[in-house]
Amino acid sequence: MNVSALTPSELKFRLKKTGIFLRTGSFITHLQTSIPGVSESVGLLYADYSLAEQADFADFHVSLTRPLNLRRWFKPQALFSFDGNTIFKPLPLDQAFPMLEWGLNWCVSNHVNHCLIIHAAVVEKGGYAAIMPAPPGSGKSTLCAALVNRGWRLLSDELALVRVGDGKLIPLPRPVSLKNESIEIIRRYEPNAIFSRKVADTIKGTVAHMKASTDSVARASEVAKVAWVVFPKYKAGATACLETLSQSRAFMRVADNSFNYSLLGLNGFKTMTSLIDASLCYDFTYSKLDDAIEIFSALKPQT
Amino acid sequence: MFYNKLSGDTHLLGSTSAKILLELQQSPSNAPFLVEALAPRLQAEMLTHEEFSFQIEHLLDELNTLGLIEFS
Repeated sequence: MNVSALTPSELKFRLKKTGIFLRTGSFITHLQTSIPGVSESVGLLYADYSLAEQADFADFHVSLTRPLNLRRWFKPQALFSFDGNTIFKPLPLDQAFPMLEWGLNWCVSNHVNHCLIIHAAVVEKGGYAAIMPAPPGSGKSTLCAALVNRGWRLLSDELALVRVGDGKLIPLPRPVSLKNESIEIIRRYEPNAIFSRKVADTIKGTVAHMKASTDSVARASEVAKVAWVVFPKYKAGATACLETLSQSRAFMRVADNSFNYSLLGLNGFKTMTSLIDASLCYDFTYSKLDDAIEIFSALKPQT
Repeated sequence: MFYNKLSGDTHLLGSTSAKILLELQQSPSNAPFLVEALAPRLQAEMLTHEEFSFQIEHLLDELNTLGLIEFS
């Protein structure tokens, strides 16, 4: 059963009482909350995701609550809990849904060690995937949002999961996080894209989340083969330019963007080696999304 | 790319350093022997013997600092 099978009031009731067991990629999250804004955003952005049985195992048990302090009446807040423990400082109640998204990323990046985890967007087309590692502000998520609205499948906008052993990319399609000017840029680029409500004054500025395509969610168990590692960089006014990067330099830069490379030790090195060996590596500068889409469409895998 | 199992560190090494390491992986050696062994393979004819020796000794010091080799 998908989330969309529940009416808004049923979803709200379940989230408040027993919680829901939400399948995102290969993970199951047990989510409980009584915050109405979160329930609405989950109903909107996770409509296509399936629900596991209540008795199923859950990888992560998370909840979003309102702390019982004086702020409950004056500047109310939201609190993210993992396995019953508070992980982050509370945020303004208005930021509860972005907090859930950030918290879910934290759950994966801090607990999943059967994969090499890279801070990167991942998209796939024709059986070949592009990994786009980049620090915040590089235009990674904007480019990712544009690509998935032009025929690429979303594997993740934030966390590349490279399976230790065979180097396959495990999808984790969740809403794409956009901030500030990128929100309107993508709204204009794809007027049919579905967005959560904009939330202002977060630590990242104004944020909104874009719904992952139904196809990306339906194919969430379909692993992908890496073909390209592309380091994107948005530069106002720049002509789109794809520059070849040596595999050794790419290796070190991907390792710098990994959450658990060192933790995995020799397995991390072997996984990274097979990932880079299978990839053509590039630096990519762009300013116009259409130019970027054209260049990505022309990418050819290694022969 | 070199991975040091003892420290868990990954190193991006130049080709001369890589050849020194591979040579030492075969058997322990010393600087003069490495200079003789590697000069033809690294096309060091553009350098004087002293310059090439200095380069090898410098790289051995760096590899030692990184914990990739051990002086005895």
